[in-house]
Amino acid sequence: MRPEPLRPSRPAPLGPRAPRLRRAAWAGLCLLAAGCAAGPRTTSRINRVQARSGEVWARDLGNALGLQPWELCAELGTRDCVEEAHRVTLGGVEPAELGIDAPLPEPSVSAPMAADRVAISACGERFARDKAGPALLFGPVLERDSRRRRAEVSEALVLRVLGRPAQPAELDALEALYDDIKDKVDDPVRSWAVGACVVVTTSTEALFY
Amino acid sequence: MRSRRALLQQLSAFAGVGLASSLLNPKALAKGAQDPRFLIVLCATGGGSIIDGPLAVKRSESATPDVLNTFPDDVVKEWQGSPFRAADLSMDSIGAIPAPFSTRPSAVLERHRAELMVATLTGTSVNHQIAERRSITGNEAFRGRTLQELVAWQYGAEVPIPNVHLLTGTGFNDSGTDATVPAWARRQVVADPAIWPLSLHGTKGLERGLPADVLHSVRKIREQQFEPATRFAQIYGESPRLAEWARLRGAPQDRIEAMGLIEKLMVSEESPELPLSKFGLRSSGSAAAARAAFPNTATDRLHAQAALAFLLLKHGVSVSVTLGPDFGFSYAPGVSEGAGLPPDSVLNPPLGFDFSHQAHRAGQAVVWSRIYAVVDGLIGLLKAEPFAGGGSMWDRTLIYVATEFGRTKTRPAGAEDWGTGHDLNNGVAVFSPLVPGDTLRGGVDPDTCLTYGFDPETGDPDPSRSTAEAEVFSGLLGALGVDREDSGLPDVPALRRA
Repeated sequence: MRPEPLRPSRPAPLGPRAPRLRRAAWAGLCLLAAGCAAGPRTTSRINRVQARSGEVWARDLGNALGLQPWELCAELGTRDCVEEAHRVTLGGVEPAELGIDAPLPEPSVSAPMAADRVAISACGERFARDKAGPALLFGPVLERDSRRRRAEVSEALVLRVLGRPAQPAELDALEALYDDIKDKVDDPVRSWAVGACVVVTTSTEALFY
Repeated sequence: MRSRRALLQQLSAFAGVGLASSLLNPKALAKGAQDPRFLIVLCATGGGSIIDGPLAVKRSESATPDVLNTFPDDVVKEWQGSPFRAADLSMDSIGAIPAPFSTRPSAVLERHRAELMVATLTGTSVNHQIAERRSITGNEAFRGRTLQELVAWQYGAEVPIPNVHLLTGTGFNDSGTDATVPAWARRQVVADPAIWPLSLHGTKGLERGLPADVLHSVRKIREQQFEPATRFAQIYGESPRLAEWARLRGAPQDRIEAMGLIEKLMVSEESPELPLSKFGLRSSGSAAAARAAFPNTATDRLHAQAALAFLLLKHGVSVSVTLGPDFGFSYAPGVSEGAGLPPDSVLNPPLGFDFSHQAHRAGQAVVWSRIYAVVDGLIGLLKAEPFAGGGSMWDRTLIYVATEFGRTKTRPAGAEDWGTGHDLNNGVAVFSPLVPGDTLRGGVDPDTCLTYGFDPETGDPDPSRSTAEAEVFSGLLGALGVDREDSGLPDVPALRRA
């Protein structure tokens, strides 16, 4: 016997005027709930937010940027940022020599700067490789820079790093970065590409869960 | 910093205590920041026995010297009118480690005993981790706050990283349990003093960095436009964890980068392993002096800690630093495995002071020597460093040699080296111009080698009394001028300079 296909449940019909009544009722509810037109806004009452350890964050970063973990960042060219230089700062453990067998309960004062360093280095590496070709992420703006192509890169960044489609306001924010820096630097394409990548990869959504 | 003051004003209003305690009074804290005291917690990890340090007992003083931890009279150096001694030792090995050594603690006490105070103490735990914690909280005597937190709170409102822990993984590094201690006064852990400064700037020194003004734009867009647009930030916007992250991204980060701490705190010198100049960086201008005092910064973690501790204080980054030897085995640079161990090549025996389980006399001598060398180096550096308000930085510094416990006082008859266990009975050494110098509070019974207490008011020795952890804790806070209003702590004026 074949299982019955699942169907969305429907309320019982209210008669010929029902659709209009439903629309009116829904409109009334929307008016009562401010901001309904922009979609429902939900805030957590529990706020149970955890930090990703540097190791986990860096693995996601590597996957998103198509880089191996050891290619992301090396301080002074010799010290792996995530495994060694900023391991404890980024929430890692080092039980063998330092006796740190659990992540520090509070973030280190230098953790945001350390995260920026790793992201700048990794995004810079991705940009350099894309420029040398074949491009994985920044190809559209490397071919020809334009607002539309920057939006393409922004969409790809959000999708690859955060694993979801970008929202229009997020794309606007990344485009605003271009407006902010274009007159400050000689190479706005690189600065924007790396900068936009840093914005996304060090956003709280990327660093916490 | 304005945000900290605002926070404190809110806290004091919330607490409903008016501004009775200067810890809750922003004006008092701002004043404290202009007239700071500095705390160095030098951890004698593993059980530094006070009768193997400045309270050595001579054989001739004891009724049963062969079965107690006494020293031959001829190795004990004394000074006229001073309660302190130093046992200068030479031995052929450190227990099973075939490394000859010689120690001369007398040279350090010769220079610094005028600013040394020893207070006897009887602890409450012989468990390392617990006793370590109790040594910095006075056995939770002041709402679970640590000495380091209290000094950071009292004097660190205007500095970027008030309370830095360079030693890790011990109870000396615990956070306190009082949630009202401001986040900025809590500990900041530094795992590797040599490369930690690289985390003090977002882009400087990176091979493929961003110009500073571009990074500024990136941060502004991220925090003011991109993140607020994400559902994640909308849903979890009130998370305390995200709020703390946002705080760190604000004034502390701006201040640390503006101060150029990535270079000012760079202890290490240019080397093939750390090619600073290739990345546009250079060693701290003050690091050469620090490395002269602590020459093994590249190979000895304690030396690196001590050098960075000095730089943190000198550059106004911190008011409390915690450091100390760890449990790892380290030996002098140039010594290769399998080639035998030349004299004085062991820098740190395994387990630090706790190597006393295997070889008490040698282990204590080597690690006390290590502690004294750090004290000597830090005092020299801080004395040479003028303080803006007059005098030197040393004039306002207190080095607390914290430890867990003492060691058992007995030995097999006539043994020259032996193993000891943990013993509650001990004492602590404090080097500072803020305490009565060349002064012993309490005493040692040479017939048992046990220490006894003192009158907290007058400081007179009292063989019927023992000193509690809370009394030492309170006495140190008093010497440092930390407000103890409403703390319930006993007053111990005997531990502060009149």
